Amino acid sequence: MTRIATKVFAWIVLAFLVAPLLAIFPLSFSSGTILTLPVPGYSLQWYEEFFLNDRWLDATRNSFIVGTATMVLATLLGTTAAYGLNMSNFRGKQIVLVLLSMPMVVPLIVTAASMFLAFSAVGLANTLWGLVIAHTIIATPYVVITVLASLQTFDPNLMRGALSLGAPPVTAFREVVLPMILPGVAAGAIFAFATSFDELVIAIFITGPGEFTLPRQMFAGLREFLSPTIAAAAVIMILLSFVLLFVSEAVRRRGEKLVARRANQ
Amino acid sequence: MSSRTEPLVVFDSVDKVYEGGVKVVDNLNLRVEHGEFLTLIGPSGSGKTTTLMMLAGFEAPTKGIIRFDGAPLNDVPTYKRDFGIVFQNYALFPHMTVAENLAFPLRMRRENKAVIAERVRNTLDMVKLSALSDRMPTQLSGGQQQRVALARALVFSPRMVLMDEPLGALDKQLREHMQLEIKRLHEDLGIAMLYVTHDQSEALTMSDRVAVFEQGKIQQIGSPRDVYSRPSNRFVASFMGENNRLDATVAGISEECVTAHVGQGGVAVRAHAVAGGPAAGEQATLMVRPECIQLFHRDGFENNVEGRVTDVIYHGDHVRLCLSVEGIGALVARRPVVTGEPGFAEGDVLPVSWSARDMHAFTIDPSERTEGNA
Repeated sequence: MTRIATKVFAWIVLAFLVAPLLAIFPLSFSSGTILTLPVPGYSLQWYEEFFLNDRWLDATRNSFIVGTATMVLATLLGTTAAYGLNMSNFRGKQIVLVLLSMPMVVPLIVTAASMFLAFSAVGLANTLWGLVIAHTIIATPYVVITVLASLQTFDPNLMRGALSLGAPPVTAFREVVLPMILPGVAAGAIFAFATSFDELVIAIFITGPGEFTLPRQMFAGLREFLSPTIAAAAVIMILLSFVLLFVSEAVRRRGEKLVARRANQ
Repeated sequence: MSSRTEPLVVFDSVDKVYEGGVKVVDNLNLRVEHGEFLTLIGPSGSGKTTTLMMLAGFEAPTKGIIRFDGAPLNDVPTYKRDFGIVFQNYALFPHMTVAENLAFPLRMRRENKAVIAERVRNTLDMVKLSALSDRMPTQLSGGQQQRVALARALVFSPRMVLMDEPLGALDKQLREHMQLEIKRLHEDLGIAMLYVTHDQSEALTMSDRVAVFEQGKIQQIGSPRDVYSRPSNRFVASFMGENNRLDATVAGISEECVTAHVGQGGVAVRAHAVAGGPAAGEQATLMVRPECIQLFHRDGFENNVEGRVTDVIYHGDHVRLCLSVEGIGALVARRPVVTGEPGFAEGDVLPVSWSARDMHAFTIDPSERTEGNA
């Protein structure tokens, strides 16, 4: 009896979490012209609209550009920061760690507002590069955290070994450290991409028309013309998120296997 | 190569002070000669590993100069020093095969593929691991990993080899086997090796010279025989091997002989006099090794007493006898087990003797005194 009750409860919780998300699927295939349920009939017109409209295509392209640039920058900065923090021991290391994770805890609206003010002063507001920098700032902590975690099992003597065998520090890092922490770096990179790809608040502050990203375009669509195209866009974003989720899970498993194999010996 | 008159490595007045003001190496002056096997031995925290780390370039001296072949080494980064280093945990690259591990230093030196393959093969032959070249390090036993680490440190013909307790993780039998193998490689290759250990049998069997470290200073440096049989102070005597230790008061000193009374006015014993030893009237610590105590009276031995056996401990190849000697106290003697010789039993009263040359007289706690001066 209790077991059945537990099962039922679990399904209810799952439905609670997922059902609102599922509502968007029938909406995106609506044959009507406004966002209402139940849908009058089914059609692919809103997908057609999405893929033929320059505004949506530009927004998609911008999202990928910003996401990829953010991923590259945040991975570079986060990995080197994590390695440096892990290898050294200095006074105030804890403070640096807290400062590095600040962007994760400060309310996004505060970050966004201050970035808008700061970026306006140097002419970065209303540019894609401004958005890339802003996204890099909020995405880097995720990379720092995942890379620090994978460095926990890294033996610093390997770096010393590589140096003693004639490898200059950068080469030693690339040949010896990086292959060992790759799962953490890859997971961090995916997080960074996803963080940028999903982000709306900063995009509202920093991007002007023409530099809209996908979430920003959806937000504009919601406010200006309540067209079901945003439902189609939403479904596309959900599917992309799933892909990212699977990739990061695969990376995590590969990393776990690597660690397990090392531990087994 | 510079002239052979210059030692290979010179530590010139080197200090190492860690954050917080702990001085781990204190005004170190050390020379490593061309082609020699020098062992640094001492308890943990004595500065021996820090000394190796400074030579390797992983730590920078706080003060002083390290020279290699006459040229200052302080500002040369590790990767340009060209030293083969063997770490205690081997530090083999887990994502590379044995052959790839060995090829790494050659790749870094941009050797061509044919040269790399040949040298990897020859070096693996040398350590008898040719059959395992395609294995991953995690598929090897501890002893095999150790030999790969050794091979990797030798494959690029380094200018010198540094080893930081390389046998620490192996069991006793394998360790003794590897000691001989490292010694053989040293003899075959003629390359200078600096070896750090806290195991005295390792230091004594492998080295040309041994440097005994304590509190950041070298207490004694010399051949294994010197350090073991002619320790220069109480620390060296008690760190290297076992000792009977007697507190005594010096009564008089003749040419090479110290006469002292054990305890307060106890039996007079004779010990070997050394420069800097205790003076007449001073308190002294007398030390004699268990294997130097004979169980018969011998002409020419200055110390002859009688002892009663209080305990006999069997160790397979030798027995240890605990003796009670009147006016001296407890003494331990160590005798080989010889077939056909009568054994010893508790309660036996035996003649006990030792040569004054085997008994060393030291001033009380020289390490404390040097501390006081510093």
